[in-house]
Amino acid sequence: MTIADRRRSPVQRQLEAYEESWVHDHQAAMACRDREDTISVGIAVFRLIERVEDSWRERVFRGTEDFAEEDDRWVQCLYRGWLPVTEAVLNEVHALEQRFGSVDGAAELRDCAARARSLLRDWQPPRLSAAVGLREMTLTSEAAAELDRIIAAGKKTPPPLPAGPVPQEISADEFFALMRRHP
Amino acid sequence: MSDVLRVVPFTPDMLDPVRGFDYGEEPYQKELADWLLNEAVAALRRGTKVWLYLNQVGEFVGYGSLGVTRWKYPDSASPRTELVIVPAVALRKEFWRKPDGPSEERYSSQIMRHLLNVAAAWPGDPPAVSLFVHPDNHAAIKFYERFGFQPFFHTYTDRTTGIVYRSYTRPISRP
Repeated sequence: MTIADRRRSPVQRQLEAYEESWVHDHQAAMACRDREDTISVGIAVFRLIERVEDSWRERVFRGTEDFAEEDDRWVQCLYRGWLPVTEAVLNEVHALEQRFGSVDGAAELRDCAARARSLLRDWQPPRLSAAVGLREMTLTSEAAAELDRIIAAGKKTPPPLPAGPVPQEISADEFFALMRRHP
Repeated sequence: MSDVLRVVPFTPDMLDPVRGFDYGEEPYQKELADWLLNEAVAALRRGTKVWLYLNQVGEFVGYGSLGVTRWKYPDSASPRTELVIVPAVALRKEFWRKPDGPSEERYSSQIMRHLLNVAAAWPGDPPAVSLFVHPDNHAAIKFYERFGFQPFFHTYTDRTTGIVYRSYTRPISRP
């Protein structure tokens, strides 16, 4: 995707619409209910950015797309563009809360803002899975036929689960207690 | 009495207690040590499940994992088929062929039995569990075959290392 493509991308346009709506609403000094609409848009845009990020990370992890620094910067830019608008919205919401008690969606938008800050602070670029089994791949027709044959044979005569002891699940607390005893 | 392992689902805060263990000297064994420390958290976030295993004394003996792979077959235009995969499984070197006694009670067998049990209950009833193995890892290949994994004509060449991994699959048996 080129820079120009990115500027035209749906998520970029949504982000710009969110920013424009905030500026417009702010100038018009809208009422509490209108601010709640802005909050809903802010949350929706955040979820959209999260989905874009997750989808990109999945493609890089599975090996269907090579990692590119440019993509990495672009995804971070989406969060960096969303965050200041949201912080401005939340500043105004704070004043509305003091006046009206509560504003629908404010807590969720604050959670989104905290998540965005945390993501940017601890940003880790995605990497191709080192375990090759997790990479997406295409089977040859011979391999596909062999796989089908093995699966069909297994349906006819399922391989038994081998007998013997099965590990017993413990809690995370028990794990940490045991590891303290055997560092 | 057999030494039945204890298993705990791995979470990122468990990384520190499992650092610095030896899984063997071969490059593919060192890769398995690296996987738990450097890759498992990213894999968790992409839907892979990872477990740590401890013996009755409370020593960490190894780890196992299950995830979902998407294979397009029979050709590149086919829809992706989801299969359960064992991305990585490893036993600390000092517990190889332990405990003494029948092979079905060894830690390695218990770990694989646990993974196969979880695979049998995997959501969506996938038809098979598969794995890739380094071609030089003969001990692992023999072990997988003992557990009913069958080789099939699919290899994967790692673009960065040039290693041609061999694939094995096992139909999932459900009660």
